[in-house]
Formats: sequence, structure tokens, C-alpha cells
Amino acid sequence: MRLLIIEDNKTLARSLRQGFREEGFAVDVGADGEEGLWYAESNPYDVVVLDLTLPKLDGLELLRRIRRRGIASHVICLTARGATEDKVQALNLGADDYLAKPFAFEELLARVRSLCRRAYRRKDPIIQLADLEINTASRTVRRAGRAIHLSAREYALLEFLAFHAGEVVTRTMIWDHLYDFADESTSNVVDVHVCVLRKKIDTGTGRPLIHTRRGEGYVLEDIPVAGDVGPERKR
Amino acid sequence: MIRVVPGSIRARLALYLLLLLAVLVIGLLTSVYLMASRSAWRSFHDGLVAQALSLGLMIEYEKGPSFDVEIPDSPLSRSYLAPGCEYYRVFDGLGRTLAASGYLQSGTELWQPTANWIRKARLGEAVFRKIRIGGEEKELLTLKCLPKIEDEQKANPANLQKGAIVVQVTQATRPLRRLLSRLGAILFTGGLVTLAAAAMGSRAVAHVGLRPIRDLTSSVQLINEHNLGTRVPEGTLPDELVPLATKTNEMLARIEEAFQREKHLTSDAAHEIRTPLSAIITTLEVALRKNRSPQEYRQMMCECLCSARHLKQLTDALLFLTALDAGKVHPQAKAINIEQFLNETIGIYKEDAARKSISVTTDVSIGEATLEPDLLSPILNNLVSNAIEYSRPGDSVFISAYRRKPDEALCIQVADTGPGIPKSAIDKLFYRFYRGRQEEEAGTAHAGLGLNIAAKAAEAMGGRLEVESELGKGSTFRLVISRRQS
Repeated sequence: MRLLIIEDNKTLARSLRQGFREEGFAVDVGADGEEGLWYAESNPYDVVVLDLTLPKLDGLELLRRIRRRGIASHVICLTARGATEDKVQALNLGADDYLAKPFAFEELLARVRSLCRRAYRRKDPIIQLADLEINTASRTVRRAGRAIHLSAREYALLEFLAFHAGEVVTRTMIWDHLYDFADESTSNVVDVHVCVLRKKIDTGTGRPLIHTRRGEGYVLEDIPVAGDVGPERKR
Repeated sequence: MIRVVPGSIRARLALYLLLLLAVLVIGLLTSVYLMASRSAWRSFHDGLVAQALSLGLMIEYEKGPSFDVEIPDSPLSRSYLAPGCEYYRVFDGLGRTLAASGYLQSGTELWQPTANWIRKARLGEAVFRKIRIGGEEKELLTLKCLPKIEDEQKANPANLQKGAIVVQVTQATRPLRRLLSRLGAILFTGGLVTLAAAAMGSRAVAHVGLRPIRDLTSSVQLINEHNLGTRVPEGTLPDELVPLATKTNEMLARIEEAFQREKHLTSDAAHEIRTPLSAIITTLEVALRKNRSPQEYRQMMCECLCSARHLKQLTDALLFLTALDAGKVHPQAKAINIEQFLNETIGIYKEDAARKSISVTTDVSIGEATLEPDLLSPILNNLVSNAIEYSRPGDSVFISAYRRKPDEALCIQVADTGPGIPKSAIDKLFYRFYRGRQEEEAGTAHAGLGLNIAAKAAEAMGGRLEVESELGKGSTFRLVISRRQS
């Protein structure tokens, strides 16, 4: 999931970026309102973490502008001002959530994940596909009851595919949502990651879930193949 | 102390109105009564005079030395006399009774006219006097009458010598008095009714007249700390209340502004404290989420330390400000060598200035001055660091200390050739937590407290901070301390 953090306190921004990256998010950081607005306009972020007190362009004004331009990213506002009016105003301007500083990183993480699920219209934190079970809260993956260990990036990729289960996911979509500006690699790296993920998920099951649509992209789907003995697909 | 005048304006106004009306009504009715009774008495007397004169006409001269008084007892002659005229008496010039009727015939002592009386009557004066006959009050008229003289009698000079006669007539005053007392009663009752109506009316009038005050009061009463934005309507008020409403509105505006600033102050302080706190907490939380290399830990700890130092500076500044606000800073004044002091201050920022290639020059024309170094130091630190920080590379900062000409006030002035301050920002410069330019570098100690501290410290030194600035040309901050009395 791709995250934009707009925060002017450098220490906080750096720590948040590190924390979220380690949780498999692709993270960009805008250090002031103008930079943040530029980032928000140039990429389809799943979630924007927005500090309300920003130099150059106030957080509330930034929120108003991105909403006016039809940017649908979920926005969670952070502020050190405890005033109720600020919260109400932020929510009224189109913020999706609100967190007062100082906050616990765990809480911010949980709220951001919840917003990510909402971004894909999922309320249940557990995604089930055939015998594949993805718990988006604990970030664990099981295939036929067996736990599969994935790196943060791999997990993010699987989650993204699972959120779009049954739909074709293009390389560009993956690139836009799972890689940030700091990633210098080319879109080739997507194929490499899919390849690794496929190995971990599908190998030895005899029932692949990740399929390649040539010229289009990838899809996570339970498609019966020749010799498939899946009960529901039996002809 | 006894309160003579009632407490409410309405009651007071009503009372004053009522008193005024009472005086007017009493005065009016009294004069009406007096005029009515005077004219009634006059016409009563005129009637008596007419009776006396008609009586006089019935007297004829005799050929002898006396008069012939013949009052015919016919209904016709009776009709000359008004119904009230029961008694009469006629005297000659010597005071002898010529004719009389009823009581007057008995010639009581009362009826003996004195010489003075007769003399007055003879001069043609109508003399009235009240007497009592049989317990009843009568008005007695004494009047000189000239009897009818026929032509042949005129020829007799003796007749002319006999002179005039004096006639007395009486009439009961009871009907007149009854009439007057009835009039008096009517006027009195009317007056009472009028006053009662006036009492109610004056309350109503006072009520109506006081409506603008009530309106003003109720609109002021509606204002509390939650709706300080409301203003008292001035347009509809009468002229006398407009200054009050204007003053009230001005006061409200000031209170609102103070409230707002107070609110922002708290919120700003919270923001300034929570931001580095939040950075420290998040950094530590992220650091503890997994095992890291010593380098990583070191880097994260450095960041935390930086934020913690920032917090400390902020806390120190806030505490110093609070102490200044509460007047709890009592630094010792001592003789300071101004030039040396300035150079020490500049020394702290020498590196910063060199990095931005800003030239700092001084011109000190004061040797020693007795000042509080603990207050002077934060002021100069702030002014110098601001000048260097807000100046562009290549600008210059000029620091001078001198005694101003007319009042010999001590001035220490820090002038820069930096970007200057917009006029709109100058007033806010000394507000707590106001920042002229948003800091881009995290962790800097600038929370917008410096100039506020400097201004407060200047105040504590008995001086003030002046600022002049021109956009694009630079700013000058000047600490001015008037010569002390001690």
C-alpha cells in the first residue's frame, strides 16, 4: 500500500517513514504543504497521513484543495492542537480519520491499515480465497493451514492482489501502489517480486492462485486447471 | 442611610413625573377654585349692591329736615329685593336710623355703625362685612346712596344740605358657600382621579421611555464567554445610549481578542510541546519494533536527543516568560561595559554569520551602564540571532549603542539589510508563538517566543523594544532604556 506522509517535523517524518516502510508500505514524505500537495496530486496514494500545522500551505487548506481536485485518497489527520474545532473542521473538509499528537505508532499503523482496507471496500480483516487465508491485521498468510513467511514487500504485493481478487492487476497499478519515489528499480522488479511470491504461495499445491495475463498483468483467482480436483469446480 | 429615592430608574421617573403632575394639577385646580369663588363672591356682592341701590331709590326727600322712607309693602317693591335680602336698614348722614326691617330694627350692638364705617360708606365705598344673625352667616353691605331728588325739591337748598344716606342690606351666604363647597368637592375629586390616573400613566410612560435601556440591558445580558462575537446593536438606540453601546462593543472586541489570543496561546504552547514529544515517542517506538544495528540505534537516539533538547529550550523559554509575566524575575543590576557585552554576544553567532557571509559591525559610544545582564543577555541574543538568521547571504548587520539626544535614553540597536518585515506582521511580531517565517528546519529552537521574551525582558528593565522595518531594505530593532532615576 502506498502512503504519503505530510509532516514538517523532520525527525517525526523520518521515523514514520521508517516505521511504515518496515511494515511493507511504500512511503513518500512531503515536508511542507506545497510539497505534500504536489505528491498527493501526482500519485494515487491509498492513505495520506496529514499534519495539520504545516509551513507554506496549511494542512486544512491542503485537505480542501485535494478534495476539490477529486483526489479520493483516504486522509488521516495528525495534529498537536487538541481543539475540538480542528478535528471537526478536518473531518468536515473530507478527512477520514483523526489522531492527536503524541500518538502511539501502533495505533496510527492500525488506523492506516483500516483505512487501506476501506480503500478496497473490505471490512473483514481476513481475506479468504480457496485455501489461501490472508489476515490483514496480523499480516499472516496461510495456505491450506500452513503458515507462509513473506517479506514485507511480498506480503504487500499479495495483499494488493487479494484486494483486487478476480480482477486483473496491471504492472502500473502495482508500481503505483507498492513502490515509492525512493525505489530506483524499474517496473521489471514487479515481475521479479511476483515470481518470488508465486513460488512461496503456489509451489507444491498443484493449484496455482496467481495467474499471468499476458500483455495485461496479474490476477489472483481460483481457476480450475486440468486435473483439478477442487470440489466446487468439479465437472 | 434611608433611601429617599427608589432604586429603579423606572420608579424614579414615575415618581418625578407624578410629583410634577401633582404640582400642576393642584396648582391648576386651586387657581380654578380661587377664580370661581372670587367671581361668585363678586357677583354676590354686585347683587347686594344692586339691592342697596334699588332700596336707595325708594327713599324720597321730605320738605322738612328728614327723609321720607317709604318702602312699599307691595309685591312689586318686594321684587326689588333679591330673595336672599331679608334685612335692611337706612341711616342718615348723622347715623340715625331712618328705616329698618327685621333684626336690623332691633338695633343690636352689632349693627351700630361706627363713625369710620359711615365715613367710608359716605366716600362711596361699598363696605362688606360678615355677620351672624340667629346663627346664620349673612353678608352685610353698607353703601352710600343718593336719594332721588325731584326737580321741585332741588330748588330747596335745605334738601341739598341733608346729604347722602347710608343703606345696609344683608343676604345669607349659605347658598353661595354651598355652591362653592360643592365646586371644591368636585375639583378635589377630579384632582384625585387625575392624580391616580397620572400615577399609573407615569409608570407606563416611564416604562415606554425606558424601553431602549431594557433592550440594551437584555442584549448585553445575552453575551457570555461563549458568544463574545455578538455585538450590541447601535443603530436603533437613542442618542444618549449610543456612546454606552459603542464603548461596550469596543470593550467586547478587546475581550474577545484577548480570549482568542489566550486560547491560541494555550493551543500554540500545546502544539510546540507535543510536536517534539511526538517525534521522540514515535522514533523510540519505531526503534523498538525490531532488532537493529548499533548504527541505526545511534542515529535514532541522536534524533531523539535533538528533539529532547528542543523541548528543553522551549521549556526554559516558557518558564522564563512565565516568571517575567508574574514579575518574579529580580535580576541584579550592575555596571556593564556595553562594548564588551556586545562583543561577547556577537561571538556566539560569529560562525552562523560567517557561514551566510553576513558582515557584523558595531559602533559603541557608551562606556559603562548600570543594567541587568540577566535580562539584557536574552534580548541581545535574540535580536542578534534573528538579524543573522533572517538576513540573506551577503547582507550586513549593524549593531550600535548610544545615548539618544533629547532624553539621554540608552539605545542598543540591531539593524540588518535583510528582507524586512511586512507592515501587517509588525504588530504580531511580539505575540507569543508568532513566527515571521515558517521554519523549514526541524528541531530549531524557534517556537516564536524570542521576541516576546525580548519585549518582556525590556519591560522588566524599565525600557521597551522598538521596531522599524521596510520591506526589501531591512529591519531595525532598538532597545530603549530611559535614564533611571536612581
